[in-house]
Amino acid sequence: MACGTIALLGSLAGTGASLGASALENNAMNKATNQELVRNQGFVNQARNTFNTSQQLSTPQAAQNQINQGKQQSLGYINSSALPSATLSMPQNAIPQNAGGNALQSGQNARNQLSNQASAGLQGYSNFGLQQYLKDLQANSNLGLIGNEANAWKNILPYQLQAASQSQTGLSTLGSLLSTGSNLAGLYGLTSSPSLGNMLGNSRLNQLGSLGQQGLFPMSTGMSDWNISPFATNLG
Amino acid sequence: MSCGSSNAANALAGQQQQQQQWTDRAIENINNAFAGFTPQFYQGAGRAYQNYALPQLQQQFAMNQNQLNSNLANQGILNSSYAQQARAGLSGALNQGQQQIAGQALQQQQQLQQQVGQEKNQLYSQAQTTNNPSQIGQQALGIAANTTAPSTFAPIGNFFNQFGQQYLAGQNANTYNNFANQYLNTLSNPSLFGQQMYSPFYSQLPSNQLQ
Repeated sequence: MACGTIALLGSLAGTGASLGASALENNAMNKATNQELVRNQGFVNQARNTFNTSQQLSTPQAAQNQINQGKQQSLGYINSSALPSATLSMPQNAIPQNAGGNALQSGQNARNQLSNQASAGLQGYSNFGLQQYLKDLQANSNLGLIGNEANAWKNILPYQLQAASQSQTGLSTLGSLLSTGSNLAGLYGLTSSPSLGNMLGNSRLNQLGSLGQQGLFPMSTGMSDWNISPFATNLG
Repeated sequence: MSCGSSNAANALAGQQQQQQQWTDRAIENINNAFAGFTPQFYQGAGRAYQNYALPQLQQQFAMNQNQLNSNLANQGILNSSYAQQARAGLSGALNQGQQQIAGQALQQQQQLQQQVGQEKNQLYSQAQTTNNPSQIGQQALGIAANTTAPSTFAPIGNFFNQFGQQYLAGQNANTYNNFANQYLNTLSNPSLFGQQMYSPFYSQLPSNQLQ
C-alpha cells in the first residue's frame, strides 16, 4: 500500500516536473522571440526615420533651396571673376566723346548682367543634382548599416530558440526519472503485495509457486534461482 | 535548472554586440577624419581654378584691347561709332569669358565634393565588417589628406576668338582703312589727283602753305 502511494506521488511529481520544464522552455522561447521582435521593430523605426529624412530633402521646396544655393555660389564666382578696373581702362585719347558711346556701353553692361543672372541660374541646377546624389549616397549607406545589423540578429534567433528549447533539460530529465522510478516502484509493490494474492486466489499463487519450483517460472527467492533452466523439469 | 543548454546563442549574441561596437567606433573615426571638408574647403578648389584661369583671361583681354585700339588708331576711327561698337563687343566677350571661368570653378568645387562623398561612402561600407576601428580611422585620415584639387588644370581656350574674327579682321575695317589711306595720302601729296584739293582744316594751315 505504501509503495503504491509512493509510486503515485512520484509519478505525479515526475509528470509535474516534465510539464514544468516544458512550460519553462516555452516561456524561454517566447521570450527570445519577443526580444527579437522588439529589436527588429527598433531597426524598422531607424530605417523609417532615415528614409523620411531623405524624403524631406527631395521635396520641391528643398530642391528649390538647393537650386538657389547653387545660383548664389555661381554668382559669387562670377563676381569674383571680374578683372581689375585698371585692365579695362582705355587710353585717354580713346575716351569716346560722342554721346552714343555711353549708351552702347551701358547697353552692353545691362546685357552682361542679364547674362550673368541667367548663367548663374542654370548653374544652380547642377548643385541640385549634386546635393541629391550625396543625400541618396548617405541614406543608402545608413540603410545598409541598419539592414546588415538586423540580418545579423535575425540569423542568431534560431540558435537562441534552440538554446531556449533545451534550457530545462535537467528538470525534464528529473521528471522522467521520477515517473520511471515511480512506475517501477509501483510494479514492485503490486507484485509483492499480499492483496494481490487475495485478488487472484491462493490456489493460483500455489500454482505459480509450483511452477517456480519446477524451474518453469523463476521466483524471487534468491539469486541462485536464476541458475535454474526455465525448461528443466523434475529438478527437485 | 538549465543543465545541458547550448551556449552558442550567447556567444553569437556577444560577438554581434562586439561587431556593432566596432562599427560604431569606425564610423565615428571616419566622421572625425572627414570633419575638415567644410564648404570653405570646397570653395578653395574653385578659387584655385579662378587663380589659374583669370590671369590668362586678363592677358587675352589686354592683347585684344591693344590690338583693337591700334587698328582703330591706324584707321583714324578711334572716336567713331564703330569703335564704340567694337569696344562693347570686347566687353561682351570679356563677360562671357568670366562666366565660363566661373562655371569651371563651380564645377571643380562640385567634383571635389562628389569625390569626397564617394570615398566616405566606401569607408562606411568597410566599417560594417571591420574588427579594427583604428585601422579604418587611419585609412580615412590618409584618404582625407590626399583628397585635394587636381594639380593641373586643362588650358583655357581663346575667349576672344569670335571677337577677333568679327572686329579685328572684319571687312569694315578694311573699308575704313581704304578711305583713310586715300584721304591722308591726298593731304600729304595733292598732286596725286592733278588738282588742288583743300584740306578741311585749310584755315588752320600755316600761312606759307595757304594757296
